[in-house]
This record gives sequence, structure tokens and C-alpha cells, in this order.
Amino acid sequence: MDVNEMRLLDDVIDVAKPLWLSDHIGFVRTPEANLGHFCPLVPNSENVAIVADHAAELSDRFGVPVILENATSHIQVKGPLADTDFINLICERGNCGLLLDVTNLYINSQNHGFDPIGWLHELDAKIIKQLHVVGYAQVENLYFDTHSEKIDKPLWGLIREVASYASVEAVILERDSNFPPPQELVDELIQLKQLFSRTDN
Amino acid sequence: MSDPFIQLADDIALNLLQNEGVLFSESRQEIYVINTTATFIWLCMEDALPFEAIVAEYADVFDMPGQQAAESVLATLQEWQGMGYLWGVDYPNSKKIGFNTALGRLLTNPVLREAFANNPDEISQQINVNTTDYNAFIALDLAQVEVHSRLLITKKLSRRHAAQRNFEARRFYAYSNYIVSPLDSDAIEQRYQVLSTRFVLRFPPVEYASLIEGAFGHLRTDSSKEVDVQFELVQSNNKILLLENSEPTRDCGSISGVVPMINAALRQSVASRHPHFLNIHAGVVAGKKACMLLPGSSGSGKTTLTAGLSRTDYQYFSDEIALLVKAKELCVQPVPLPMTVKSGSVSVLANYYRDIANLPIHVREDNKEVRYLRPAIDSLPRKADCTMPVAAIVFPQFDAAARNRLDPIVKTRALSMLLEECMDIPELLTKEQISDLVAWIETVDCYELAFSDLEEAISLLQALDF
Repeated sequence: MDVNEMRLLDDVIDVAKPLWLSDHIGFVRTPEANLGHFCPLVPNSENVAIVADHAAELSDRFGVPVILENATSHIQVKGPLADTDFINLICERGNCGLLLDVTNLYINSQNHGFDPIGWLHELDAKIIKQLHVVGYAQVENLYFDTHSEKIDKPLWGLIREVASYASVEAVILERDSNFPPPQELVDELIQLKQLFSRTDN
Repeated sequence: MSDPFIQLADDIALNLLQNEGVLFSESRQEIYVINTTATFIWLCMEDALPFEAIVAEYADVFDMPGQQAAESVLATLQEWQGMGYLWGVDYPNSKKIGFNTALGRLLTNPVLREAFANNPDEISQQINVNTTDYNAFIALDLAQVEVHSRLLITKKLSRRHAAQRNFEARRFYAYSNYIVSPLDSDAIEQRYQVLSTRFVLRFPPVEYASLIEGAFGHLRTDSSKEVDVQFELVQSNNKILLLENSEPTRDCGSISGVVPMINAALRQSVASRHPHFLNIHAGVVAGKKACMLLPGSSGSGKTTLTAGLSRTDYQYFSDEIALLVKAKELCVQPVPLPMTVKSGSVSVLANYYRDIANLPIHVREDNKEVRYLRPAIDSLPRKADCTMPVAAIVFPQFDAAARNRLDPIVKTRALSMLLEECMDIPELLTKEQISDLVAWIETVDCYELAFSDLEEAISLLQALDF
């Protein structure tokens, strides 16, 4: 891992004192180029080892549990492992949790044509620690993770399914732009809180 | 005969600048400055010379042994291959590459994607993908790769508009404090003009009047013409809120943040209302017929120099912002908002602005204490909405231990440094615009100024004489 980035992360962790340290499952740089955004890995045992060992190294170094996030990708990479097995094995070997981005799951399922609920149930429920949710954008038949829309009905359905499947410890509503009147976000937060409080009970 | 394997991406254009080159990828909106030797190699590639011929020419022109020339040319081509500017460099004797590297090449290179569409298996062999990654690579759906490639470009471009997103986020936070009662009926109303934009600012009289006048009084106008933007300061939810055309746009916690908040809002409003080619983080002063850009990051001394120069024969155009617009050539427009002087520069500028130490201290959003220095009326351009060509670009660097010196710099370096200080590029750049930009900077004198003494630094700049 990049020594300079580790040093920078030292400073961030000193200040933020986070409950978890999270990053995406994927790659951004190759030996030749910085691609600037996440790209998907081949789901195979070699990559399980690389990602899990990196997660364990981070956790040991910073003394903070690591949770890894499922990224959205327009490219579907076919490998010897199913995506869900890939994630389960990484979390098991790396002793880390999953930050389940429900929106990313929904977007990938629509772009690649699979059943998101079936995919969810193939995950080990115990690894799911935190959720990210936000609405998505749709252009013609493609779905995009823009962090700029409200949560719509089909996504609420998937969020409900997650709430009944896993004991989630935290939920983050993401929004980077196209900010609505605050009450709209407050309403979404209240709805999320109700959904996951009910599950706790 | 052209090399059968190496192919250039077709969206890259080379512009020559002095003896060096500026590559521009239109599809990726990427500007990449290359040195003389790399420019030579690119020109050979454009002439479709095969690798061996490039090496021979390179060894001859730069007077080096063949082996060294071959290594140097190969390293350059490989770097460009990684960036997606060409492909096929190391075929047929290439090392094995993994899936990530292979996918990276596809994502960055439209020519390689086209070849992959015709025959993925052949491309996999040519770029020598690992046996273990072969199946995953040839199974890639090219339509999906195209979409992802466009997404990478979009993500990259969106970083150019970080300022706009920051502005949106601020507006959202301001909104969250938006519990506003109507403004007092005895509120003061002042009118200001920057360029052709007329602003009205309404604020409660007692607390803010002298602070606002002290910073923005030089921009006041008596014009009764219709205003373009209306700002109001209101108290709301223990915050001071700035409304722009009745909508919350920024907030601050105390009176010390009011002027910085208005200044930032005015700068944002002017930049968004006046079409421009580039918005550079720079101070600007103008001579009789042309102006001088002083781009630099925080702490470089650009405001101190701008303020000092404005007390000599130069007109004050702007601080922290240079709006470059396209006329016959690239010109600058005046945005004479007050100069933002940090505490460390107060004593240095006392010789030029006697009362500077007595100016009120404000606290910016980054918690820095600043004073807002109004330019002298006689240092302002006569016409608010004018344009002026650029004669010189000076990159200042204050260093208390430095000997004052002004050194010319090569144009490619100046272009790179200028673009580093670019805060906003409103539109997608075209090959023609980059060609114009390169032609423009070729006509402008470019310098680096290291300085520890303001007076001496000003003398050095005055000697430029334009």
C-alpha cells in the first residue's frame, strides 16, 4: 500500500477518531495510470487474498475495524467466484465487515440484470455493518450513482429487505449535490431511522 | 514505413510552444506538457516512423548512444501508453500484464477499444494478458467498458467544478438555518456594480454599515437602473444569513464573518454571471495598455504585491480572481473587490496604506484573520466593464530569506503553473481553444518572482514597463 497515503490517513484518524475505516472493493490505479475512479476486480481467490490482507493490514495499523464497500460499476467482470462469494471470503479472511451500499447494489442489479434481493441473501448477514443509501439517476436504460436524487420506491423496497435481513449498526444517507429543501432529507432520515429502529426491536 | 503495432489515439492534438509541446486530449479534457525530447518523439510518431527509426533519429539529434536512445524512447512511449495516448509499444516482446492493467489500457484508449471490439482474443495476445486473467479479459462487454470509460472522464471533469459543488453545499447549510423574519423596515439599501452586474445589498443599519462601507464602498453606484442581484443580510436561528435573490446562499456565526461572506458571494456571483474562458486564482494590475497577472496559491504574496503595485502607476483590477475572456486575444476583466490582506502583510503594506493596521479584522470561513483593503479610487479602471490584454504573467513566491529576483520562465512551465491556479473552466475545451491558449501564452512574457522585500520586488516589476 502507498506509504504516503498511509501517513495522511494517520493524520485523519488522529483527528476523526472514527468507529470504522472504510474503502471500496475495487482498484483505481494500475502500474501505468491513475484511472481516477473505481474499477472492478476479477472475483477470484488471488484478489480475495490481496484485498483481505490489505484490510487486515489497515486494521492492525490503525486499530480501527475496517469495513469494505461494494462499488457500482458499469463493467461486469466475470471470474471464477460469484460476487457475493468474493465479498464473503474477503470479509472472512480479512476479519472485516461490509459497508453495503444499497444504492450501488440496486444500480448494478438494474445495469447487469440480476435480482438484488437474491444477491443480498447470498451475503453472510453477519458481515453487514453499515449501509449507504441515496437516490440514483437514470438515463435511458442505464442507472448512475450520482448522489444527487431522492430515494424512490423500488429502492425503499430493497432497503426494507436489508433491514429485515441484517443487524445494521449505522446508516448513512449520502447527498453531494442537487440539495433539496432540508425537510426532504429530514423526512428520508426519519423514515430510515424508523425502519432500522423497528428492526432492532 | 510506419510501425505496424504502435498506434496513436486519434483525439490527441500536439501544440508546439517554443521548443516543447502541449498535448491535449479532447475526449478526456486533459492537458499534458511535454519537454523537447518527448516532443521530438511525438512528432516522429505523427510522421508514422517505426520504433527503430525514431530511436535512430533521436540518437542522432540528441547525440547519445543507440542503446540509451532506445531505452529513453521506449520509456516515453510506455508512459504514454499507460495514459492511453497510444498503444502497442511493447508488442511483440512485451511482459505479461494483469487484468487491472489490461482493463486500464482499454479504459484510457479509444483506439485500443476499437481494436478490442474487432478481435478481443487477438488484442489479449498482443498486449500479453496473464493466462489466469485471459478469460475475464476477453469476456469484457465493450459497451459496458465504453460507458465506464465515459464515467471516468465525467468524474474527472466534475472535479473542475469543485467550487460550484462547494457553493451548493454552503447554500444547503444556509438553508438549514433558514427561519427568517422579514428584514427591519429601516434596513439600509446600498447599490454596487462589478463589471456590468448591478447588486443591491440590504442590511440592518447599525451593526454592519461601517464594516460593509469599509470594504465595498468603492463599488457603490448611484445608478437607479434595475439591479441584477439582490443580497439581504438577515438574522436567523442564531446565524447571520445572506440571501441572494431571496434564497439563502451562505451563513456565518458572528459579525466578524459578515464581510468575508459578502465578498465570497459577490465573487461567486460575478464569476457565474460573466461568461469567461478561464477563472484563475490571481491578482491583476493594469498598466496603460495591458495588464499583469500574478497567479499564486495562498501565502505566495500575490495580494501583497497587487496591493503594493496598485499604489504605483498601476491600476487595480482584482485580487484572488482573474477572469480571462476571449476577445481578439485572451483579455482580463476587472473585478475590483477589496483586497484580502492577512495579518502577516499588514506591516509590510503600512508604507503604502497608512491606516491599514486600523482596519477592522474579519474572520474568514477558514478561520484566518484578514483585513479588507479598499483600493484607492484613482487606482480603479475608469470603466467598470472593460477588458485589457495580458502583457506579463508573474508567479510570485514570498520567502523571507530570498534574494529578490525576477527570472523569465519557459512558456510550457508557465502554462502548467497557470493551469494549476485555474479555479474554473466553465465549458468543455476544444482543440481550437487549446491551440489559441498556447498561441496566446507564446506572446506573453512569463516570470517567476522570488521576493523578501516588497519595495524591491515592485521596482523589479516596474522595470517590465508596459
